[in-house]
Amino acid sequence: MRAARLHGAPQPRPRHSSLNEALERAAVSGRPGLTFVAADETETSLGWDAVRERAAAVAGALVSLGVRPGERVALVLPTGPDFMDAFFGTLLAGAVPVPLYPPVRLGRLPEYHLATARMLRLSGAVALLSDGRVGRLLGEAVRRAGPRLGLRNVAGLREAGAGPVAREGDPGALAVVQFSSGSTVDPKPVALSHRAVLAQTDALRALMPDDTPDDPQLGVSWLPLYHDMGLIGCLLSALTYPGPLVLLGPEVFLGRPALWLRALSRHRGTMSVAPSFAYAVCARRVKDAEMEGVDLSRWRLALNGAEQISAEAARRFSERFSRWGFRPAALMPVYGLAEAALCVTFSPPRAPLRSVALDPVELARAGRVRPGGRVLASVGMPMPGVSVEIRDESGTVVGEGVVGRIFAHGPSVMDEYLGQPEATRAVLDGGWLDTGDLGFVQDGELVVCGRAKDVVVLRGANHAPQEFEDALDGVPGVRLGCAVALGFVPPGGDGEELLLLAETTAEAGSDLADRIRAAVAERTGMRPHTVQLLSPGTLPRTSSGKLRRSEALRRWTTGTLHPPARMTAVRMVCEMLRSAIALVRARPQPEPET
Amino acid sequence: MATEAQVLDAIRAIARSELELERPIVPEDDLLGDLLLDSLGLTVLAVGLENRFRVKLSEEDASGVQTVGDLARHVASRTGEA
Repeated sequence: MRAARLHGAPQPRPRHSSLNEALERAAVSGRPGLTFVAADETETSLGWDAVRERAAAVAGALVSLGVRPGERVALVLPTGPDFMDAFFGTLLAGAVPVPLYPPVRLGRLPEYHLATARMLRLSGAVALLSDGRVGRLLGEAVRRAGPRLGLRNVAGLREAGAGPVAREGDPGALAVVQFSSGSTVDPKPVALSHRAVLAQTDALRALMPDDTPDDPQLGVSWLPLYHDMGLIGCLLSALTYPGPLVLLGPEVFLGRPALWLRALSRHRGTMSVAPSFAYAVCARRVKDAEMEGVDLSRWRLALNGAEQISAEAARRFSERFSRWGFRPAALMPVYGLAEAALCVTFSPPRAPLRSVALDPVELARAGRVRPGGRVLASVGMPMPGVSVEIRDESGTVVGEGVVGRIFAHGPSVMDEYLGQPEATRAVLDGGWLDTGDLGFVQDGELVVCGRAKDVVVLRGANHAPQEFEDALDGVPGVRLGCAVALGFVPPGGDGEELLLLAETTAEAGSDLADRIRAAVAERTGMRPHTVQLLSPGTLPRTSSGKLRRSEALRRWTTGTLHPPARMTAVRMVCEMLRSAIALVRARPQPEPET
Repeated sequence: MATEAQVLDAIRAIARSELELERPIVPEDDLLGDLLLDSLGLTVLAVGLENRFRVKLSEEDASGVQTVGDLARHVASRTGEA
């Protein structure tokens, strides 16, 4: 049996020594830069030279405020020119940008304040950059975390007239801190050097078509810029290519998914990446009338990643949009994680997707690949410069077709979780990254089939929680994708048992728990010990919406699993007052200009 | 300037076409409790209303909104500001 070990092509030669150098080169390249598309499809353009000039002004202001090289500067900004000013301005100041997610419209603020304060502290941010609109909501988080230079308005910094600054970037120095969206652990600050980020964008470049007069290349993205896929996969890829990138805010896409496809058509886009659910949303929500005159035939790379890929959703998307020129072979599954800067494996252009149908019980129990009813898409081969191994619990590389932990090695693997040596040691050993994901190698390609850290062990056999959760799909009364399966040891019990936590919909009847038990038993052969029904929104999720199973278990075990608090007008006023008081207390740090 | 009734109609249209909610919607419906919207659903609804009525719903003032009626009132009042 061949060992489950895969190697990508050699890593390409580095094209830049730092992101700062890449920005300088892009600015003088004469190549098109960024275009921002608003919800009404009006557009604003910003050339790479303008990006650099504005960033240099912000850098000047940050340096005169006292930001020192290597210090972290957090940013909470929507997709737009202000984000670019803050992100690249921080880099040109020799500091390290830490993009964080903005509050959700009509969303819950108390949880947002806590999460943001936590990330400010974990990243050691000395300042938080925002705009007037979002900045008003950040007072509480800033008060809790207390960054030395407080909250600053990026437009104010740009106009401060401190004089432009462009410090050099050292290849080995920290370039970006991004928070992992690991489902099983609390978000951790992933520390990436210039060298690591550029190794990733160099490897991505090797997969992209060349730009020629007959075949000009252009990227389109609506992905958030506070996660690896949007930031590194789209923005920094475009910077280092260098080439044009058309950006929509995530809310623009969610409000009207057709705007993504229309932007691709209008700009003759050739590359775009999105998670599996986005392809499903388009197939469902985009109407024929919205597609009038749209031509997707230039779309060459429709990368699909960031979550378990649904082969079914991919097929529906291809079927739905082939009428408008979409090429099914463009849909390419990719696999990666924040700790590897982004991408670990990619699949070549082909249609249909390569997938395997497996027996989920056998897969989890014995780690064996047997034919069955669960369809998994192959995520292809390692990126250039990357090696992948599947290892068993003892750390030995297993054979092909055997399930184990996926380990990745390559130049874009993170240096560390910032300031967390213990957490770093838990996942990094000799340059090998323990992805925490379960997978196997089949026919020279990687298939991801679960997450090691979430295993449920029942009667000595290991089970992936997805196995049980998938059994609830289609049970009336259970919110789709809003249930977690966990192992727990009941008091006085003999060992670990199966617990299901499920959020309910209006269709939930009094017999729902029984029907869940029946469905799980029928699909998996395992009977849940306890089924707990929950109000919508109760299960904890990561910023990217993935369920946090171990946190759900922790809360359930400790009796702290509660429905989300409703935001009332009175509470809102209290929150506002607290923010205002915080700003007063925080003086002499000035309130950001609006 | 839009009336609350016009905003309510728009909420119903978005709920039907974008959120795939089949149930009838009344002003007393709680966005989270009755319509069971998650953050994705709330974003879809908010952005849909922004596009329709050319207003910008800030996270801040919209956070006091709890029911469909609250939202309709809020959006209607914002359209009056322009």
